[in-house]
Amino acid sequence: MSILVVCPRFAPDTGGIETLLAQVLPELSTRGLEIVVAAGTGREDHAPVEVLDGIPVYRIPFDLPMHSAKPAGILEAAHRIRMIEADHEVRIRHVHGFGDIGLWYALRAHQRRPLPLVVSVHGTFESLGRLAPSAEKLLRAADVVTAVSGPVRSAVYEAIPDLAAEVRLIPNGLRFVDTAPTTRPVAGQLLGVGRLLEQKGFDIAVEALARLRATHPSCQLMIAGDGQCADAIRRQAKRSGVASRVHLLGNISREDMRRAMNDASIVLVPSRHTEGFSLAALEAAHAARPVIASGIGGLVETVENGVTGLLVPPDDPGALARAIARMLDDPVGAAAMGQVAHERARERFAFERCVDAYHGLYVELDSPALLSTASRV
Amino acid sequence: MSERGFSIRVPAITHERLDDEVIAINLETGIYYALVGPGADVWSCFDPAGSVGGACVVLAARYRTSADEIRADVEAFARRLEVAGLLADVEAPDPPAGALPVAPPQSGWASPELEEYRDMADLVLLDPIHQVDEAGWPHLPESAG
Repeated sequence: MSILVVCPRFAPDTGGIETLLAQVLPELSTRGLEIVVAAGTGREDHAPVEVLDGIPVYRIPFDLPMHSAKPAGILEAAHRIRMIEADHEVRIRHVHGFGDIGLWYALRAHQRRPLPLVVSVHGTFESLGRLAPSAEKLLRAADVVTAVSGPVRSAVYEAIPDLAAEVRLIPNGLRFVDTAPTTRPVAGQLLGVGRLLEQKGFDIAVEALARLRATHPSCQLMIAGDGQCADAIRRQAKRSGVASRVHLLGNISREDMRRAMNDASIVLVPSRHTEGFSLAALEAAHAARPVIASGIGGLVETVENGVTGLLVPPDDPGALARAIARMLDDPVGAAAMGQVAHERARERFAFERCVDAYHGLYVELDSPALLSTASRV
Repeated sequence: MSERGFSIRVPAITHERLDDEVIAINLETGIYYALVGPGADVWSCFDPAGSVGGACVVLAARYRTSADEIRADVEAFARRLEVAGLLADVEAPDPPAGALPVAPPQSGWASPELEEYRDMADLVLLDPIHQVDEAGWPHLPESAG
């Protein structure tokens, strides 16, 4: 059985969906499924096609022709998807991520040749304002919609109350690091992980750090990730007098990420919106580190307030600073939260369960009885 | 007197055909359109200009049917394309129809369809990963880090 996965980006690019798929898809392929990836690309150094961990990955410039209104480029991208599907005898389409132009190409492919369709929604819809009609069409065309958290599932039902497809909850799971962290956290070291975009709220973390300058002078903020807000964050840190204590690490390897998590005493997820799950919070739990996160979207499930970390109102540097101070002033309590997070993550966000859920979904959709349903557009 | 016809409203409309599919973009409204199979063939008959009668002759040969049989479909579709701002009414075009790409005759004419996408600007803008300036992707804004 061959499945085409359409996603905004794929490894080695970093990001929540990329991290998840880089682990889940190779595992699915070891179970006898042929997984083929059609990923968007914005980088000129990406090969048009390559094999990563046994997965053929086709990089298709979804955005450029669409953004610049070039019909030839749009047709070429749509044509490439059809050729990939023909070459690999694709029987199921699976769109991961929801809020990028790849969904339009998936919709076009479905309109031209309906196949069983899965749409996995990874974020809530706050930033969209309204659901774009093409996005709604794609959701309505899906045989199964999956959501990475309860709030994401609720957001789908709120957006389309009469959605015919079932919305299944499949929480993200990452390979658990079996060994307990070997290093003790560096006292006062805070870590943020994610793209440096306005929505990730790292500027709020910098502001919180500035407010702790007097009471917690040894506090340091490390930020792993890259993005267009990097310079703005550097400027803000300088303005706030904490330039020497804010360290932008850029994109780092998985191994360096694990090391950074181990070194951190607290992991921050200060997102403003659209956080459907937060793999950063899950990775923190793997490393037995407590999290302070915005109490929005899927974060309220990934982080149990007062148990595995603390939730604070979004866009509130004062509240974030107070929460950081509370944890720094109680390192034993913070470490205990990290330990609980470690145990709970093993149960609730097990990698095998996540892989099993997607595998089961494909097997179900590939049954002849369900193939006839693949005609909703 | 020769039959009036339609022409594609260039430069307001940018369009391209690949195999059996046409993508047309109305640059005045930002609306994207897709036409497949018979719809794409009707489009090609009006590229750059053609009359309904001329188009019907060309299409009848391609679909192994009679021009009379498909005339109502072609006329209605041309009007729809005109209402969408894709075609303009013109004086008797010469030649009376644009050429179709070389392909074997098709069996089975079906009423042409026009897929309309009004939300492309929203889709491009909603993706926070791909924030770009007016120069378009992959040119990052100057403020990008």
